[in-house]
Amino acid sequence: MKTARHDLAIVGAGPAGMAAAIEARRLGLSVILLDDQPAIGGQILRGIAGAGEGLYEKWGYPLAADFRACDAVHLSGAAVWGREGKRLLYSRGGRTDSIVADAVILATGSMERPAMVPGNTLPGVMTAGALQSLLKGSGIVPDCRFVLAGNGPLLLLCAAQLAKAGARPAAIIQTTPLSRLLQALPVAPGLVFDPALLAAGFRLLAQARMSGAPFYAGAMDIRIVGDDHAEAIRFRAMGRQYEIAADIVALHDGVVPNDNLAVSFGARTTWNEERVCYELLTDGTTKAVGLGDVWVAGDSAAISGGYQAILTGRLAALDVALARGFIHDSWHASQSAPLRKKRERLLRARRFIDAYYAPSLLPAQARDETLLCRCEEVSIGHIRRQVAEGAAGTRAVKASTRCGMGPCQGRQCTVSLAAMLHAECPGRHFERPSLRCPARPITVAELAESHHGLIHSGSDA
Amino acid sequence: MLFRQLDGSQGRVTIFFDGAPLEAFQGESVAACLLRHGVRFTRLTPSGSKRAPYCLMGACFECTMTIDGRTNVQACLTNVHDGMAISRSSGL
Repeated sequence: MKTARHDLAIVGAGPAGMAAAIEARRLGLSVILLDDQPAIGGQILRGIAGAGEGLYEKWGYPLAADFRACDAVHLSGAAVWGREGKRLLYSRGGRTDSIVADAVILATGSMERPAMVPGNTLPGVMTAGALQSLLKGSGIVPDCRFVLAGNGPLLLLCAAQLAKAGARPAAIIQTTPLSRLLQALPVAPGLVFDPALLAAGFRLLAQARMSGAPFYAGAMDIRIVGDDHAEAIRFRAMGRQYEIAADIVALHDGVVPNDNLAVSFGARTTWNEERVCYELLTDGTTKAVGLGDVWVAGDSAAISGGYQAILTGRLAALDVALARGFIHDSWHASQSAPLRKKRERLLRARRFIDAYYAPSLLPAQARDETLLCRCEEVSIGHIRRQVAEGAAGTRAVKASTRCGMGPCQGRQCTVSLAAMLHAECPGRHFERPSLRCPARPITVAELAESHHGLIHSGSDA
Repeated sequence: MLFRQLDGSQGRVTIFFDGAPLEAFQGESVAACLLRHGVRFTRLTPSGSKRAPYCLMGACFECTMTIDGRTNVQACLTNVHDGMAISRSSGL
């Protein structure tokens, strides 16, 4: 099989991946960028290639333009599922192919934390980001009664963008506990390090309020009801019980790293108690611990948002260029120092977001009937019983309930399961369940076809 | 209807859902097209419960469908093309 060879392969065409590609091209590396979406942008800049001004943050437009001009090979619709030596295997249009690259940067971004509320699998229940994706990617907006419920900046952003496009939510239901402001106050001074973030926050709050949608703060005990699909959302707020009819309920409870590919490659993770998610371990630079020739950038390593993903994307490209001998130590140091400094400053502001918008719809507070594993239909109550009977550990629960063994390969449930176990057994550390190749479900026929001439030709890798 | 297209000036193509023709806009995903036509669910779980597009970014696998003869294709990651044939997945 004929395979193209590159100095660097990047997985993910969001801000981190595009920034890494631009920087690496500038440093003289040949670059291929693989991404499973139909076009560049990742999630935050989805659809930017064909869009006018308005929907995206200002820094997105020059980034996309620079990427198009940087002459990196871009392979859209390519879902990377494995790595053998220096070969990256990817599925595209039902066929597996491969490329060879001396170094890999994983920039697979984030995904929304599944909200643990009863009724979360009913048709009509989506994530807030899903509504945003439909607007940015396909230009469609809800044309029915819909509500937004949950916690985090994206909830307000989504409400503001949809209202601007002419789709006003029937309600914005915020589950951020009212006591949070007090808890987050100690880290609030850090916001001065990122005035743009602070300004964006106030703008969002104002826009969401001005959308005219009824606003409910401090909501709890949320459930979505309906027989065949979502019909209404029930919750309690300010001591009163509410039921609001809705055909679509968009839930949001912050974002977590989308790290399945890195973990399937063998990357090591650590549990971040404050952020209630796993994060990839790095060696102090952007190099992943436990992997040869793999670097990580952007939210897939640890959540810090779209703008900071540009910084870590560039840092990763510099780290790769140094490791592969394209630049010297002194150049690397002079180029990365200002990026690191800027990042450290912005991270101080980020601490307020982490504290104020800490997850609010976690499994520990959820009712037994809530489905934790969507694919295998495993309820929180079922897992609670298994844990009570001694299945203490991610692997033990997986083995006794099939949690995490469906087609999404644990993308949806792993973080919830780990949050549950860490909450039930304080002080203990539960390892992230391991993942094996292929990191995407592919058919045996596709695997067999790829096998021919691939698996046994490892010598050239 | 569940969803509406903001820009009606885009080019149109025809796709077939369980054999029935549906009007689709060039550049929209299969998941978006079905939601726009009010299709309430895209797959059945092993226990028979209905599921519909949930994350719209390729991470939940709730929108897996049979597209142009290929099984378990993620409808949110696949853009429509003229003559595309789609049917529901069940029991994966």
